[in-house]
Amino acid sequence: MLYINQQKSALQATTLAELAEQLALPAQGVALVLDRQLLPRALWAQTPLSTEQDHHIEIFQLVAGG
Amino acid sequence: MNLSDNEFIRYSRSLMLGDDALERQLRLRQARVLVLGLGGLGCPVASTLISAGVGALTLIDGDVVELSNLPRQQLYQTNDVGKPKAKVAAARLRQHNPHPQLQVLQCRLNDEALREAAEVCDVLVDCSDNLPTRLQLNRLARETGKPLFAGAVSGASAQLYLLNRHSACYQCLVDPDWQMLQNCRSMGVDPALVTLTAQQLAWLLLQYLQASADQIAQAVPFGQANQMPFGQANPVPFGHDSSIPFGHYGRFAATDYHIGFHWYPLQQNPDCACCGTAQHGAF
Repeated sequence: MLYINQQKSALQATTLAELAEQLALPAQGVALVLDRQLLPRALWAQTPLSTEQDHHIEIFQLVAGG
Repeated sequence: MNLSDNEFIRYSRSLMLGDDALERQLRLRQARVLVLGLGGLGCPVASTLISAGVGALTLIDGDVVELSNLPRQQLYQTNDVGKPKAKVAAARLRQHNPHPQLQVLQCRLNDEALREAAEVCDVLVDCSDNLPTRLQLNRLARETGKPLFAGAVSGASAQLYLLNRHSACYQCLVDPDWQMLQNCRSMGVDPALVTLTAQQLAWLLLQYLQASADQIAQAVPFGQANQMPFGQANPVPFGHDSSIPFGHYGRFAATDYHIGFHWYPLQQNPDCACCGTAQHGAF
């Protein structure tokens, strides 16, 4: 089961990149945390999601103001 | 090396904090910190470091004080509008504590000038408000091997990142071509949240600057303190059970019973143009 920002999700994806595409995440400025690890976008395509186990995903907007 | 009578009285409450409090205060007096950006984050960070007794501070900001800065940038007063932030901030900080050395750079710096300022500092602190400056300081931190402590805010969001030569870098996470639309000018900013974020950053800085090299080397890695045997104290930081979260990205959130920063280990991008092993070899 996938949990996205603490909510159960019915989405099914084999990689993080596929999930990002299904969620239509913006091409820049988004952080994606998989099971507590913050993963750079360059790693999303090679990061598999298993249907055998729960995954907890957090998505948030990066900010850079001060 | 010891504190003067005046310093003993000034820092007396800090000197009550543990058996090694004097050593910690003396280590802080030896430290030089570079703070880039003297806005909503930089004002409280600089103010707390100076109040606590840091040895030297390099202040960098090319902006002038604007009326809209005043609700959260507490080093400035109404009659400072139009004056250079770095100069005004330095004058206020000197009034508050005359002991620390202050260096003021009232401009946006090119790489070489910034490198000269960074090389003599122990820590770089990013309190800037734009992506090019963040990437510039990140690269410089990487090249000089200096630890980078950074805060970032916009709207009701607040984030922190602490990186060093062994960790991922900021550019692993952020695309340099990111057209950042979310800044304080366009999205506004919560004055209390930006101050809270700055003080969290200042607290982490003080924990780091006051620790000895041995304490840092022996600390249990951040996030693993709960795996220690019961009763075994973690030597750093004082009174707390985890070490400095280098290589982590923090995000402010209020969930269930927890209000504060949630920290995530940031994975390195092996192909990162700044720190990736494909570009420069292993750091």
